[in-house]
Amino acid sequence: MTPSTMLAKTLSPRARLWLKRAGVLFFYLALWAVLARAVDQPLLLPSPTAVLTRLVSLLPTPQSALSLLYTLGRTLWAYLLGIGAAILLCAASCRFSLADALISPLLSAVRATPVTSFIVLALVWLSSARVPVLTGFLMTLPVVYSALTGAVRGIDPKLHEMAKLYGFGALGTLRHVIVPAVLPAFVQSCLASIGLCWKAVVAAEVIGVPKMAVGSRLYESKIYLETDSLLAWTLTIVLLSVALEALLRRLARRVLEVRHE
Amino acid sequence: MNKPFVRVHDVSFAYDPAKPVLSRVSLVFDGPGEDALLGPSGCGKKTLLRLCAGLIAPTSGQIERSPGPVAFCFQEDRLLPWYTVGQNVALALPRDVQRDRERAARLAETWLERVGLPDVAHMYPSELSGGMKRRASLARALAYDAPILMMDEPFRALDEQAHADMLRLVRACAQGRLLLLVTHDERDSSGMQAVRLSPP
Repeated sequence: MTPSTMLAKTLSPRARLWLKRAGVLFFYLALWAVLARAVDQPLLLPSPTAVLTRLVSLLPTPQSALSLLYTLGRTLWAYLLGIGAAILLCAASCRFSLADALISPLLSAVRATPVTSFIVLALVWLSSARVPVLTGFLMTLPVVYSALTGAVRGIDPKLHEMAKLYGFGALGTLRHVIVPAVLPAFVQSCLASIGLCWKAVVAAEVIGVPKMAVGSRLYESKIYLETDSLLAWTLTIVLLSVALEALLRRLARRVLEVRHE
Repeated sequence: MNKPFVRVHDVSFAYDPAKPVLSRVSLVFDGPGEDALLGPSGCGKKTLLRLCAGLIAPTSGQIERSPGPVAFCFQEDRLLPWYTVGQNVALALPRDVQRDRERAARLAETWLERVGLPDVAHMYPSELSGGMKRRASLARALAYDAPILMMDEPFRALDEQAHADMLRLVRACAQGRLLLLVTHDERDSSGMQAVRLSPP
């Protein structure tokens, strides 16, 4: 038995998973380092060390910290607004057919429209700091809305009959039938839309260049040809996106457990 | 307490106007008592029960029912899959009992024991066999405090012994209430007032 096989057998499945992930990360970092050395032009492709050094020097500055906070704040604001609006519009759509006739095609059109079209159009109407919120909102809303309306309409009508005969009432039906039935689809759509929202907010910041924004820092890095800085900010965006998704996934697991309590 | 009743006056019903399911049916079910609705498939027994429960409206005619809720045992189990079997039964208990979670859980367990399911309160419906789900659904209907008890083939998927036990339990629980039982099995109606329907 080789030492690596022995090590694999003594480790817990969780530790093995993390070891595997670390191995994958190491592989890509090594590939990046090899490519950077082969290209040998930091302006085109800086080495991972240069990017990490830049990241460490960038992040502690007040402007970077504020940019991160503002972008994070805009994303969360847009995301929560999008989810809230999706819930309200879904309730209206499922209750009134006229509301459904008005809302559904509009949101389908929003979903099909390229995000840059919204950004450019919104820049005509709003300040550059507000455009990212609107863009993130418009990315979240249709995803959550269509998942919610699909789930509400998919509820077995026999369960509604049962709720009616057993005197659940409107609130009881909402609590015991509708909410638990739509919760998995709702949670999945929330998980799917956080990444979209985050990317849309950063894209709107890159185009609108508000004062405090990660997107603006990206734009400046591009203008000044600071490729290491550009990659450092991109890395920050990716890491934050992964962290946000992981946090939400944990929250989602908890919410789905509560469904059974 | 007022006597429970269901009065059906000249009721017709059709899902498709060309194919009436019930045509000018008039019946009186005055409780307390036990009435069995019998007849071949397609004669409209189930539709009549749904009309009596107010789940659908008649195409013409009128249905009068004594005030108060109806405990209905559906042909399918209709248990909420996200709740345990105990929670499903507890939802049929009166609101004030439901507020006290421990008491509701104890009562639900008692009802489940009465239908021969002593250790399933913590299980989810998906973990039960067809017969067990049927009995859990019966426990929920019997736990619901209503003067009228309507049952749509409640003993389907039960073996002979369980069938006999559940029929006995239903009849015991129907004391002082009005029981309307839709069944294909003539034996179920023994000792009950039998109403035979025929296709229109």
